[in-house]
Amino acid sequence: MGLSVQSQEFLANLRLYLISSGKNEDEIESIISELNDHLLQAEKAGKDVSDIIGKSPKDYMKQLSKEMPIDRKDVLKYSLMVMIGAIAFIVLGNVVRGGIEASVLELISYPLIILFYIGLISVTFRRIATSGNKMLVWTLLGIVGAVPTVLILALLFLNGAVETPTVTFHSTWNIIAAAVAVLLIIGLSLWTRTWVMIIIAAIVFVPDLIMNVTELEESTKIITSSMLIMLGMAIYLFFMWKKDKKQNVIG
Amino acid sequence: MSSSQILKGILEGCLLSIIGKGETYGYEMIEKLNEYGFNMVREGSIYPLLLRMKKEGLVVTSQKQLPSGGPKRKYYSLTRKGEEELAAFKEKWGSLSKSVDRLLEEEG
Repeated sequence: MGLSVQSQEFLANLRLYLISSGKNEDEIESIISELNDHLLQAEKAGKDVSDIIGKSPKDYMKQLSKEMPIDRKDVLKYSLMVMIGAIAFIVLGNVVRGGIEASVLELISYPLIILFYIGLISVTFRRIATSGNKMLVWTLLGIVGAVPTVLILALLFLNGAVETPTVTFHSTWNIIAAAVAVLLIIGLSLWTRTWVMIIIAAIVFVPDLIMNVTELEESTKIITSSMLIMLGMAIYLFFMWKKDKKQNVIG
Repeated sequence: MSSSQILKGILEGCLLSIIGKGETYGYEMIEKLNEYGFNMVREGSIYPLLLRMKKEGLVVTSQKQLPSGGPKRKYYSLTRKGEEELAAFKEKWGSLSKSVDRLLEEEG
């Protein structure tokens, strides 16, 4: 007999809470599997999750978290990973759309935006993990989703308004930068053993690359490539959803 | 010191004593505590304590495969430092409980 839905949900939230609090991965898995073991036996004895952890999952998560040291190495590792990944994507996007051209303002702002975003994700996900309110969770996810777009739009606007020196890459350097970015994305994918970055990069950049070699009109190119991107995303999400459903049936 | 802090200190001493009687795991500790009448202890509350005791070097853990298969189970045993802490707790508790008993008996 497996764990009840409530217990599984609690453990998933606990994992999210501890990960976004920067705790050590091995220690997180260790405490989760220990609680999993306890909950299994307790449920067999007719108890439920609130008998074990008390009325407030939030307080219990905080108590556990307090006894676990923050793993600076893990925090640094993930921050660096997100930073490198995001910059690789920005570089590729620039190359595909006709070459890298970055102002000093952009060079300073992008890393700051990424750092701010990592902090925001950490805070928001801890909030999501301890919130039983579905409405609030979706609102928070919406905000997290919208923030980078808003910040980048603000940066583009500011970049147009304020004049700062610009760095422009020429053809050979663009190719080298793109090659480095591709290698970084492949490297990160190998390291994390996931395909997601490579797939997203292909979905986002391949349509533009194809359009660049066609003789279509500029507006047709833009419309076609954005439709291809949306189609690619839809197909990818559909496959992820199917895979997820299959796993849930087995588990 | 709040009452929950006093209770935590006592619970830590009791866990040391239970682990000291032989290698054991979380759910079994709760069952043993219940046998002795500790039903005011919320089951989950032992885990933050066990995490701290491990951090302080009072206990060590080892993963063991169950004969029934399935995931491994985490077992706790006392370290030398844990044994010393248990001895100190016994002494403190002995004199504390004697004092409280003496005081309360006078009321009767």
